[in-house]
Amino acid sequence: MSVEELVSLAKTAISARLAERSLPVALVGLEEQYKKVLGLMRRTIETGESNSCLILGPRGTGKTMLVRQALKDLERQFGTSYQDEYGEDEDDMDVDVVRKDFMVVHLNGLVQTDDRMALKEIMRQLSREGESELGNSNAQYPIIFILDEFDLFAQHTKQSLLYNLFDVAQSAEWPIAVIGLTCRMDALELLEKRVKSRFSHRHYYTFPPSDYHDYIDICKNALLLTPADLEIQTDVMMVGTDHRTAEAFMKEFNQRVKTLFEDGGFSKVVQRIFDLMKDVRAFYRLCFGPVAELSKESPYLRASQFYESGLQQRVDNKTELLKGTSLLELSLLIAIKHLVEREVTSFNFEMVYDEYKDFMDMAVVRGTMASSASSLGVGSGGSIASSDGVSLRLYKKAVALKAFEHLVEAELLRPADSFSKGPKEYRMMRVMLDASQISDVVLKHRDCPTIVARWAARRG
Amino acid sequence: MVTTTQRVNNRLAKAKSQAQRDILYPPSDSDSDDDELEWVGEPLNKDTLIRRTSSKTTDSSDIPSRKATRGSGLSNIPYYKAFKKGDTIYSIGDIVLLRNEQYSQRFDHPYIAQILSLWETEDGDCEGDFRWFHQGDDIAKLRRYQRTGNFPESLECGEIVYTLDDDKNDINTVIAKGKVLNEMQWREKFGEAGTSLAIEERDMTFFCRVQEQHEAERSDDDVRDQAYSERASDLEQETSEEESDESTKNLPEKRQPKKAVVATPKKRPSRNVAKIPSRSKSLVIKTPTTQRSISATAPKTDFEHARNRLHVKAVPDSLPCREDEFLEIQEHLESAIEDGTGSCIYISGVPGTGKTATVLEVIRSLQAKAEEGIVESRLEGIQAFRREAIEFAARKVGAVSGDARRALDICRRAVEIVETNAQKAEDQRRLKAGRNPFEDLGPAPDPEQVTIRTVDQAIKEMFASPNVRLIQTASLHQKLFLVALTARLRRLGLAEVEFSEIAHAHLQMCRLHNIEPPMLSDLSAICASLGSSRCLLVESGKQDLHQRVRLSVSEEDVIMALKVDPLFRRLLDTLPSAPVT
Repeated sequence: MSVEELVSLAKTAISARLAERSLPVALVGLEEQYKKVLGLMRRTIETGESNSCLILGPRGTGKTMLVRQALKDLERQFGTSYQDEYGEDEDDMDVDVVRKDFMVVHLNGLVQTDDRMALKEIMRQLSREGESELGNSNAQYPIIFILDEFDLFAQHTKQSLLYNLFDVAQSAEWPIAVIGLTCRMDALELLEKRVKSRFSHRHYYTFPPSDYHDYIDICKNALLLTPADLEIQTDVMMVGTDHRTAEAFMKEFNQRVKTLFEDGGFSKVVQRIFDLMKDVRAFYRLCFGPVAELSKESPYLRASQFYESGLQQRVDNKTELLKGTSLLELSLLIAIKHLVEREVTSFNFEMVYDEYKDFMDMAVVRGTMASSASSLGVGSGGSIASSDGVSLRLYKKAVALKAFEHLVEAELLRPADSFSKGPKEYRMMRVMLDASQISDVVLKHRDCPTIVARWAARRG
Repeated sequence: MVTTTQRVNNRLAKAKSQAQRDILYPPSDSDSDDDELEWVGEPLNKDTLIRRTSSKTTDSSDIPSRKATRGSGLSNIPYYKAFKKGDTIYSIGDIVLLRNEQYSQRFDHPYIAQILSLWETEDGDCEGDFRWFHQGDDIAKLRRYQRTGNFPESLECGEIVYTLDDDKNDINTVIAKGKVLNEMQWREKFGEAGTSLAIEERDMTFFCRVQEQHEAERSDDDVRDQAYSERASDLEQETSEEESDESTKNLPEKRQPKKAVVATPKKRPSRNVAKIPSRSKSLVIKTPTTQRSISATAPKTDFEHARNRLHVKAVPDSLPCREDEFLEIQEHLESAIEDGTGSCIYISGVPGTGKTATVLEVIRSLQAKAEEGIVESRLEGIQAFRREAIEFAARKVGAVSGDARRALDICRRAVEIVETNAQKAEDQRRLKAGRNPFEDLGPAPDPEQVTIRTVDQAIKEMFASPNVRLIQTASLHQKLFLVALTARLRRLGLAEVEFSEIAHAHLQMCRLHNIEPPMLSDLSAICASLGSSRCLLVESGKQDLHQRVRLSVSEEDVIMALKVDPLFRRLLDTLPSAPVT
């Protein structure tokens, strides 16, 4: 096996983990919850005890992963005809081909936005699973319902879907397990009384890792290669050169990953993500670039790659948006900034233009005063050539309005009230930028005359 | 209760060791350890017996005992006059003590009964028909349910009442022979106050003074003859007997074993309490059972039993506190059925108060049953629960909502907790044994019970607010954001603040405490994430900087969660004091 092949294998495996197509190698900090959820499902399958539970936790803490992992394990256990020849290799994705002693119905509150759609989807999934299963038709197969974005189901009229699911889970009719996943901690309060009463009040919480080391472990797990990733068969006696090179590559790769985590700059980047949101996905996003860049020439992850993508993640969206904006737009923004600093939170175009004009007039006056002493001359039409060599001129109202509308289009300015009549020059607006952001834009702007920059820095 | 047990155990030196074994092993498993059981003498119906090749049957295996063929018309059931268990011979007419499955100790609160007949089923189980004696607490129950009868006001120590209730049971549950005297003999023997003269004998001896129903003084022969003649007539004319035997008719489930647990005396005096007029007999509806793909394993441990029964789906043996409603519904339905007319009933109530359960119960059996305590009635005969634990759960829930479903779920969760604990303890024991196989492990620990503490733990688990935990596990900046929000809220004395204001306060705090300030877009992401877990209530994102934010959790929660961190304690100290309300 050449290095190229190995790298591409590693790339596929890691990016699958980063994109959450495949499950992580190990659960970190969720062992307890996992055991409980698995036990609950297992009881439904084994003893036919119906159950309902909720898994609550902020986004990105592993609720869905937990359930997926549990289902995978249950399929291992109860999937009766699990073929090793070709079943193993492509197991994760097409589970419904495999016959099992239970059925799973996945619903998502974002997709099934009303009960009708949800019912249709349940029917579709059950009939599909029913086809693949061979057993006698009058046997009772336990069904596991997974309700993603559970809180959205509670918004459906009368919550009849939830009512019925919970009711079945309470009666002896058919063994089912209802598992709701939600990031709303108050999801229970959304339930109507009659629905709430039928819910078993089991909830399991997933919280983000409280410890920085746990977080690092999760991140590391995503990047470290396992023998399975490189298709190294550990139990086979055949130890060829292929096998040896693959193993050596894995060892080296993992060693590099470990040193990567010891790198100061890298740690700083990760620490920042941890401080902000403890979001594992943010780290994954950080890794996509460096992993995609792996190649035959640079087969290992390097810390410098992460500095770059770390910097990319640190930019402020809006400041970035305004990077190449025109000088007129920038001037208008500065005018707005001054208005806001004077506690004028909503304004119309005329006010902004006045502010802008005041500045320009002053600049022109100053320019003429200066021009008598130096070469700074006032051009025709009130434009002044600043010392930076950029000409500054007072644009006409119509032109400025166009620029103003451009800012509105970019939704950096928004109407203060949803409905207002009258000409657009007089429509009241609010700005969606903070004063500090505007200052940043000015600082980062490539060819901003010093006079404008000074105006922006001036307070009041 | 304990002293009784001890006394009995002391007296029955041999039985004591058995009783101990019973503590070691769950009682349901211990049947096989019991003394060998064998029939004494030839079958009584030798002549009419059709086929029976090998009648040697001592195994009371797990095969669920099929319904005795009393009504099947085949007389392939051998009836016997007596059987021998251990060293004792029990014959028809004898007074015996039966094990009460409810208690862990075999000799704790035994049932007292008289043997009416004995036979062997097709499956090889040894069964008998027993006529029960009521004891003190049974009488109390009967009285509560207004069962008519000439029961004495209260029973004296050792007094029992002869009843007309009899049903079938496994002989394996017989544990000892008892003795029933009349009042005179009793007083003669033990004196007025029941001196301590013969404590040992006293536990085995009872007296009975309710005369009309009292038949125990008859000679053994009489009873045996009568019993046998009854049996014989059974065999000859079951059909006519079935017609005439009204009490049997009214209580259809009395004859057939309800559960597959062998060797459980099914004496439930209260079951016979509320008799339903015979006209309702056609209303007995059996719910059809469907077959499952994986045959549900029969519950093995007490925990599993308890879990099963506590599942809301389980149909309780009784529905306490719904007697009036029950009777009303029953009357309505009965009259509607009698008249052949339609009827309309409107039942309303807070969820979980038992509307559905009551109606189902009426339909299912039209038979009133009642026990103390909703949960207790379900857990009857299961020793995994301590009494006070049940009471505790009931009181806790009763104080808030009175939702019975909730109470049952709490108990179910509590059983799970104990079960996992027991599992862990067992694993540790195993581990120990693995290390040194020759070390004597000693007796297994007492089976764990659900105590108040476990119930409390379950309640906490189910209802504890996750908010504090949520805030504690939040990231540094999420916490800072919450503090900034609290600070703004306090300063302004308003309920909600604009995002940009909080952001400013946040950034200022970062500068003050030398923390790397986040970008504004990071802050809005933080705000959104806190909003999605409903730590904050956030206006729609369209408003961006001007979206208004308010706390969704209580301010105390925030402060309590953050107090533990030194950095945040400092920050919290600088907060403006809460506005005076």
